[in-house]
Amino acid sequence: MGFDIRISIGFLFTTLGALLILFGLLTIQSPIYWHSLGMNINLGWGIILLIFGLLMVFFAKRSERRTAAQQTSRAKGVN
Amino acid sequence: MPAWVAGLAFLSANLGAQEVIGMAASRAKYGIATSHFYWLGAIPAMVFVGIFMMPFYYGSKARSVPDYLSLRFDEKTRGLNALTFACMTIMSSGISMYAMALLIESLHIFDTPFRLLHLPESWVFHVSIVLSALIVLAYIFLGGLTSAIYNEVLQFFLIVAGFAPLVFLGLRSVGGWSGLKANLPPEFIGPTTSTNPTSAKDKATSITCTWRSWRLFLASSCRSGPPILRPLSITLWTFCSWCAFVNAPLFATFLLGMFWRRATGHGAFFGLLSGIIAAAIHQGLTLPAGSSPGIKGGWIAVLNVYPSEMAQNFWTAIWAWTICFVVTIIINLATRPRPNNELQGLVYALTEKQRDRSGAYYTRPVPVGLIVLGLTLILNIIFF
Repeated sequence: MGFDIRISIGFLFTTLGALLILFGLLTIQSPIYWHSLGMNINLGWGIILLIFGLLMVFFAKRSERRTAAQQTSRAKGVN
Repeated sequence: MPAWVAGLAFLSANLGAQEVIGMAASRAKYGIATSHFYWLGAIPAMVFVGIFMMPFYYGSKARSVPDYLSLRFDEKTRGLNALTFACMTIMSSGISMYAMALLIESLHIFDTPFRLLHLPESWVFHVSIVLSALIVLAYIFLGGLTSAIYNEVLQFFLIVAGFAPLVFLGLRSVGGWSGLKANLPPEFIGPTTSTNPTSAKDKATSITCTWRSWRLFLASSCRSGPPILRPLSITLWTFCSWCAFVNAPLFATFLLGMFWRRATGHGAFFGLLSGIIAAAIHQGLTLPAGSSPGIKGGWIAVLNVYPSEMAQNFWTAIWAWTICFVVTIIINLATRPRPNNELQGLVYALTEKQRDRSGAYYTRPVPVGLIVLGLTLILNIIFF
């Protein structure tokens, strides 16, 4: 299986998280947050999404490395 | 394809616009009773599919419902089902796109680009529909079912990411679960006997907080919006009435086809057809309370008025199922069944049961199904 959806999910959420963090930082003290009970939800949720995105990329890369390692060891076994 | 990808794709195939938006609107109308779409409906049905129907799909090598119908019965049954299903799909995609376009319009996402391009604001709705259709068309054309599945997985995470803060803020602003209970009329959370929508003000309480946070999450400069909810509750209604027309008779046909080897192609075809006709007649003779004869029913004559749309849909489904079941049985008894050797892998009694006792309990369908049913039962008891 050449395609790992975790890469796409990871990059998408890393980008979304970064955007939300940026927006949250630019709007600190902004009156728009009276809606969200004074909480800067863009900043907070952005951080969570960023962490989630990075974790997805991390797991995808790790399994990629593992498959590669398995293949090389199998190739050695054949030789 | 990894199992979690396939599983999440299934999950999110049931998280379309109809469910996410329609369910929210339906909850505003009926309260927590809406959950019984899952607690009484979908979850037991899914467990049934997993335990009893999947072995057939594997055994018969059928790839779809019409495919199974053609193997088990004949081409005309398959054609009828494919046709009605195509109609239902067109209708339901139409509702999805309509609901989404309504959302885009009321969230004013395209307003600025339209103003910059000097396009009239009234086009936003139509452009949203066409644009979403083109995007889906493009990725299905390029990647087929695989791209649909991967796209569903991506959407699953996006839906969760969009709704989690919404639920968090909504609950917080209303004062947690106890605050929510205090703010709603008791029948919204407690016993599910009441089908009468309560006053508009109560409805609004639960929804406005949700809507407020939804809008702020997108940090857009929205004007106030909730009138959008009324058209949206129609989405689920339309979807359900189509299910009552198409899926209820199909279920009867499937049951008989799977468990009764005497079931024949003629029986299935005419049973299915009469089930659909029965649904149409029932819908034409009844009317939900508070609506005038026309699209929602009563286009033949009004013999019975149901307290709500969902009650009408439910009875439509019951009529369709029963008529299909009875007609199929009568015709089956009058026609000649296929010989047993042609039905191997297609009928439960003639299919080799695949017993998989090797893996751990959580990898086998029956124990997992039982656990899920148990959890559903607990939810049913709590919110009875």
